[in-house]
Amino acid sequence: MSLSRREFITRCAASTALVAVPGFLTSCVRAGAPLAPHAGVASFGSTYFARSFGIEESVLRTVMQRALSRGGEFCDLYFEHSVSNSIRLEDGSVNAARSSVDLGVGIRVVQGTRFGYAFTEELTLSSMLKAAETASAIATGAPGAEPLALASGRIPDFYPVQTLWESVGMDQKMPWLQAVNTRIYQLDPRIIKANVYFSDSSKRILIATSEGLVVEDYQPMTTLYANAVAEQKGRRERNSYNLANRNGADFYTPERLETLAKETVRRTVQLFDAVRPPSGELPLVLGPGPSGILLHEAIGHGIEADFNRKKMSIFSDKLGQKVAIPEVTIVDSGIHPNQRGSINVDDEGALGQETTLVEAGVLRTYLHDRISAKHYNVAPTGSGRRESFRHPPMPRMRNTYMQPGPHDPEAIIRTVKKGIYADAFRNGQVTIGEGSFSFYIASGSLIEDGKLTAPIKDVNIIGNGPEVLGRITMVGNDLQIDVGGWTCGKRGQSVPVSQGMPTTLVSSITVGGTQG
Amino acid sequence: MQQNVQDIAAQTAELAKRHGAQEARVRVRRERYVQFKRIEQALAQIEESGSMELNLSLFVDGRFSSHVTNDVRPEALETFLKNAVIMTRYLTPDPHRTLPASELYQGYQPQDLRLVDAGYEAVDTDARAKLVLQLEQEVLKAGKPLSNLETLSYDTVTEGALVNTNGFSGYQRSTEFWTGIDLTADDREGRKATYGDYAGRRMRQDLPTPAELATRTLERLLLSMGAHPIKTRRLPMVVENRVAGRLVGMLLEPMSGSALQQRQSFLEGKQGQSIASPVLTVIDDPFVSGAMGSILYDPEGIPTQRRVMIEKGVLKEYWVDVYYAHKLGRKPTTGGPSNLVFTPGDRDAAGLMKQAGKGILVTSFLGGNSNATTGDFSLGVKGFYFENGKIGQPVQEMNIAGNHLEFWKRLVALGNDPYLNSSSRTPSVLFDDILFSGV
Repeated sequence: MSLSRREFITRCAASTALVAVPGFLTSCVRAGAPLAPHAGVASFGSTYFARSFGIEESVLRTVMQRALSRGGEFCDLYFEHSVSNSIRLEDGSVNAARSSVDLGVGIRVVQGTRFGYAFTEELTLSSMLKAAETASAIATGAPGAEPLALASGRIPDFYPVQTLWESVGMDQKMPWLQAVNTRIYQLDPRIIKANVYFSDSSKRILIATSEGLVVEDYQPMTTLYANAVAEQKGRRERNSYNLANRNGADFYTPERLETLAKETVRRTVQLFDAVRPPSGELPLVLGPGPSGILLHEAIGHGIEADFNRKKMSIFSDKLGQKVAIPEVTIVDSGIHPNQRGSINVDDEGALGQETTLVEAGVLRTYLHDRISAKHYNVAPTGSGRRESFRHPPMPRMRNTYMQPGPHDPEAIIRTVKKGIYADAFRNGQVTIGEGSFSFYIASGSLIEDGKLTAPIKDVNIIGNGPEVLGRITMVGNDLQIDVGGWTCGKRGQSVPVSQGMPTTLVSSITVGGTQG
Repeated sequence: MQQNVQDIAAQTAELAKRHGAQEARVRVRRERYVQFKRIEQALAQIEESGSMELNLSLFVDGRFSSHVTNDVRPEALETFLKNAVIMTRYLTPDPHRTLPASELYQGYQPQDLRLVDAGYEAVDTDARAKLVLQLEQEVLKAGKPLSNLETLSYDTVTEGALVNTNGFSGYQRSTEFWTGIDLTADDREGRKATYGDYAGRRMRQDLPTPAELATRTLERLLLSMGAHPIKTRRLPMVVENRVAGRLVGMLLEPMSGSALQQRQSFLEGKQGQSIASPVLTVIDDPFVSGAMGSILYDPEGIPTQRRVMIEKGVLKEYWVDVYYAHKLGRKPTTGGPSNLVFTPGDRDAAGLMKQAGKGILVTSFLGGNSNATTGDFSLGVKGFYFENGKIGQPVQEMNIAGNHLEFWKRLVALGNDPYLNSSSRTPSVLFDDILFSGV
């Protein structure tokens, strides 16, 4: 859906977008105050926000009382302190760095499905009370319920990190970029340019609700991205690859750095042999891993409950119905260790969990935030997420994947006489009401007589969500979860996600090639 | 208010120097934002906020870094800057990183670009609530069955200051007002048809009336019911002004200094050559009165200039910032476009459809991408098949693909209907003989 400020400018139809390359050099930080070790539990006085910014229990209660002063039924406070750093290698040297700090609190007052929202970047009592006053304007009545006494919530730890980014110096990070750059040039003499970007981020959040919950989380994130340009007989090609994880410095093993360099070069130089594929409807075999983009676009967004509550989605009347063959089971998970989309707790305080969306071909549930779960009278699925304290939460995906099926991947490819194979993607998009979606292939090849032949390039795949789910005819036994830097955009808010897929056959889909 | 952001910028620049930077650029941006939204015939969301962001570029011992923070408590800012300088000293020196040469600042004369609505402060809660209500009422008046109706209004007032320690300081203030309608209706086989339309202007009085916006949004929604892909075929294509910016953006992307220097530009070495049909003239014009992209100085602090980028299909100029200018051995222009202005044709989208006879009118793109290194692209499209210049069967889930160097030669005509909601003031455009992939 597009009624939000950023999408106003970029896009018009109701749609969401997914991109593979995160916004490097746009986020960051080196914190003033040192960050404490992972704080899954907080008792007052010991919370990060109490220590660093004086946000004591009495402050939370005073602000929530003001927020509910005009009769709102529920309110929550979302405090955030994010510190990120990024560095860049270009033309052989690590010669640019960026840091950023983001600090603030978002205050939301809820009345049924309606809400008022305000944020402040100044964590002073007067600024917070003013924001609470603004958010309270959604309700117009006598003071509502008193906020309940606050109790700290215990949360799981799906992203254990040995060394926090705060204690990892530039001198430790810079060699990773140098190593990847050196390898890229070593691997193929046709490489003429390479860029490597690194970023790390430490996000501290504290959520307090008028129902008495207080919970704190530390959310690390890191990304390493490589880009290469190669030249052959005067022709140039470019491609890229990246790694992303909710993890610390230990993520960057020599093997991972080698994979990054190798995959970047492989994707780049194979384009010299690539052809533009035919146009029109063809069978599509999706390789394991990043192909989960199909699930993200074809069904994931369409079953986010806000779209269904408002009868805006093509999936609005499909709960409990068969949407695919029995081999198809689709899961959205916040609990995969260190995955980019994992969350110990969602941005409304619901615990991190795994949700089976499609079970043996039948649509089981929508993805819920607090407002939609209450509306549908079901338990929240831990899917209430937001970009930052500047944004109200809404139902979002985490790590979306399909469970493995019975088939050997090679056997799946052998069934296709003429078709397309795709194993890496640049971006995707969907319109919620129509169910139209597309994704752009970054790496793939033609299938001719059951064999992978010429690589293909620059092709968009386009289809209709429920139709394409219905055309999944074979599911492989080789599920992989992608370790790539996917960022999902919805209503102007970006959140980190991941996805996974076993090798899968879609019997027919529109291929946007150039040959009539 | 003005004194304030400029003071903060100047003081922060001094602080950066005190911590060891030889030169610095500081940009301070402060914004107030208010949004009202009605859903299901009730005021559903109210958002209001004030925010400030401090952006720094540091030049330390021949090294460069940039930083952003919104934590401007004096002690936090001190620590932030101290750490930023320490971080910078680890980097490899890069002689190409400098502030703009101070000669570029000479003759800078701030002018009134008419970017501020003097009545902004008088717009209150009642006025905003009334606007979203009127939009809703205008849609409901038509009595059409809708499964969802959302109306929205938001406005911002932004002020920014920039200081370059080698002799430039600037200040700009602007307002924006936006309104929008998003509609969903039940379509065939459990599908929904959706359509949204929006308008944004610097001055509140320049917005279309709620009746105008409601009429055209509803009209389009109803026309788009029953959309489906049609057979793969070659046809003329009219791209509506509000989405033509996406196409133009893909052609202009490789015109940046970084794309050229990093060898990722299919327009490298093409200055002075024909890259598009002679009907295409693109001007980077920062001085259009009241326009969305009008600016006095660019993000590096270079006073802006009007530049012809493409003239009658010939590539005239690149967007080159200070860093890549040094690396390329060129003179800097500016890092990116302000307003993109096009030499208009003599008819609007309806006129272009008439000219083409039959074809596809593209009203939105779906996903897709473009490769700036090679010029290859592939894009999903949605819109209408038209015949005898009249809108007919709605189409969706179709795709166009090609290479820009060949594609832009097929450009037949530009419309006379620049899109005013954006800094990319694209008109509707007509192309000949485009392959549409479908069923």
